[in-house]
Amino acid sequence: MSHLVGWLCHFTPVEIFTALGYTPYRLLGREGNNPRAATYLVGNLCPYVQSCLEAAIKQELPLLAGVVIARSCNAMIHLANVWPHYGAGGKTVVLDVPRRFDEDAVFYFSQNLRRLAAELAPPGEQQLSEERLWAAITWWEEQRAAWRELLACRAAGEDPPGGKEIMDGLARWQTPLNPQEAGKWETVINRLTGQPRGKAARRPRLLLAGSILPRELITMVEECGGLSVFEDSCNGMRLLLAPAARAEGDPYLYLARLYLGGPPCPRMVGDREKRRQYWAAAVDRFRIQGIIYHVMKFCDAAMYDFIALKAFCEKKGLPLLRLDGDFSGGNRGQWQTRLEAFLEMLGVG
Amino acid sequence: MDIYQLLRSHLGNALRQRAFKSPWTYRLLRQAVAAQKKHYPWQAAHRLLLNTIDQAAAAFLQKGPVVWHNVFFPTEILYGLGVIPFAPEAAAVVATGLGIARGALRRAEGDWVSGEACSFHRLAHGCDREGYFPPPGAVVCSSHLCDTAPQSLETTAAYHGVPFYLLDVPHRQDAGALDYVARQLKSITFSLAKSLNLEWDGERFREALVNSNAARERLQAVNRLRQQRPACIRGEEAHSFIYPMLAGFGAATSVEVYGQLADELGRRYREQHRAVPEEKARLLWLHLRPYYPNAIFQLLEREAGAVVVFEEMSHVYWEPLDPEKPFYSLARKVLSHHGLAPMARRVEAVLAMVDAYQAGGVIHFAHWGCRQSTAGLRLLQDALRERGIPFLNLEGDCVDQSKYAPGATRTRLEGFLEMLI
Ligand code: SF4
Ligand code: SF4
Repeated sequence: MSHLVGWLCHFTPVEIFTALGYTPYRLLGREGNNPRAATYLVGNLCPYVQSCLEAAIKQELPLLAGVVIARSCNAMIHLANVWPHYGAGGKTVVLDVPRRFDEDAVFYFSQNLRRLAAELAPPGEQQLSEERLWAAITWWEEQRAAWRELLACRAAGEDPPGGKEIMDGLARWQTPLNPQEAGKWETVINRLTGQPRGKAARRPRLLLAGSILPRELITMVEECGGLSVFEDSCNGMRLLLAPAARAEGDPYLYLARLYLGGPPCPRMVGDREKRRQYWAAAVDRFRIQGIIYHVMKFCDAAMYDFIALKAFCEKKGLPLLRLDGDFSGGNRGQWQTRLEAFLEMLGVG
Repeated sequence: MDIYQLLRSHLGNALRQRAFKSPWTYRLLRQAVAAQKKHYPWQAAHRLLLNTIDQAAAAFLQKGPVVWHNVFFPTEILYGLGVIPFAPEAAAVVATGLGIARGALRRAEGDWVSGEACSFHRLAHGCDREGYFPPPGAVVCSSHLCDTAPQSLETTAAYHGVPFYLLDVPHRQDAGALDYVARQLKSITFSLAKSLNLEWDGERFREALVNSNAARERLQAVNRLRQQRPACIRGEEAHSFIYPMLAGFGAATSVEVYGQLADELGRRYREQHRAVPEEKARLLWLHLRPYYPNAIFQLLEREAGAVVVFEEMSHVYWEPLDPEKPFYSLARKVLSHHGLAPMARRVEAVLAMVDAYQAGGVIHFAHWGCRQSTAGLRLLQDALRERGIPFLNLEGDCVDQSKYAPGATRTRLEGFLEMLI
């Protein structure tokens, strides 16, 4: 039987999977169109979600023991509805994630996480012990801390590994095919850390933002002469959460606070101020010269998040470029010219 | 009589925004509508219109703090606090009728509100930024069902610099979720009272819940009557009564309107006053309808005799509230919505409606941009197919007339009717 458990939204506490003996495997979608998924979900729904379903229908995913779907937005809610019928086999477990970050939300989320642990436990397995869960928490925190450290070198202005390499590394880190591979996380990071560094290039330092950033966008930005130094996305910095003090005795409460209190995501609409502060801090610390926002087609959260970012950039006098995408990998033509013009304005070329 | 025509002639062009803020507008409108009483086929509709004019007047003339809310927020709280509720989605419908939608949508586009978003909110954004809507004193929004509403309303609250309160509604309906929602409702209520400087009136709050129960009871009476055959009210007429469902629970006026509608319907059934001369088919309508002039209901009901006997929006999905436990019972109401996940709940509710109203076919109006209602349709379609119930997913837009294709709509409806009749 497979020990891989799929997950999608970055609000999914993978620590619980690990503690239960599973290997968390992130569904990162696929390139290309999603004709079969569109027959089960409507066409004007998040293409990332569609592409995950398409990959399952086309049996492009590794064998999974189950999938945990966090009902973080409408697209995910509907994915959770259709997955048991048309998605890959295995268990489908849904997780409600609050859109607020306060004591009530933390408590409520911690209850959901406790239930998640019970629902996900392999058949016949005893209740998950707190020791095992704390051990998994420590193991994950170690990995995230190493990633954060690696990415922080970009703030210091060292010539870092490029955004593309980092995103590739993060993708590899999120998709181990077995426990052995998952255990080799340091190798993934070390490979990046040890990469030969060129001399500090004078390329415009960019913040790339969006819901989930397509790999090809970062590649293209760097091919065109930009330097991605901060990826505000759920496959970028948001994934790494934020260091948290271990004040809780209860691991579920700790996890609830860790995830809800992490870098703010566009769906946390009740606290947009936190998101503004997050951008402001990133812009200062990473000495950002321009921002590129990737609006995922049909993502309501991203559409309005962009409006908030636009107001923020106007206030700060920061150049902002909006690029719309459908996650299919086929956007190059539409993006290229606009990207080049934007970078030219920032002094490239 | 067309209320929009009347409004348009009064508001004129250049003065429109200002006219909304003039007491004369409402006085004149009220007088004109009151004088036309006899011409309304349903007196309940006449009453509803007068009430709506009064509520709009209170909001536009800022007779008290105006609180914007989305249509899923439990308005009992707002009536209980004595504030003036204002639902931008519902106001967008009026904007469509007034013919200002095109300009407002253009404004929204200029402000980067993407054309992929729900046009109710795009339109509301445009109307607000163009000065057509009364500015809010605070904004409340529930997260259940709709993703656009919280995003759009937060943006509006930030634009006006007023507090925004989010009611975060989970999808499970267990004790933990109930507690979580009830605590938020309580905190939102008292935060609103504080930020708007409202005097707490426990009796008024209780009254709102009592009103809500009374309106619910009368709506149920209306719905029971609509289960009989042949139908005595056309779907097109019945659709105008969903406004209280979206923005009126908690108000005494909604009790009145539903009560009057129940009386009138009862009388028509006794007098065997049919909705159409020959009822050839009975239909269930899911989600909302287009609000600009269109031929859909004319074609279905008047030409083909296929009566829309019930609309999902009028479904009473919740149990009576307990005025002694306001926050818990409102939380239970919110969590009972059949549209909350899993989809099996909505499927079950729709099948129950099909049975109760003896519907032979189902039409879902797939409003562009409304992901909550449309994305899970496949499962519903499968369930209806299994029961042999014809289903039509009619794509369109409720408020953006430029998306209406009369020819294609007619073809689709005719094809569907052929299956049915
Ligand atoms: S990109 Fe947007 S719509 Fe898609 S899963 Fe993320 S939040 Fe949901
Ligand atoms: S139509 Fe749908 S998306 Fe639009 S406001 Fe209503 S529920 Fe939200």
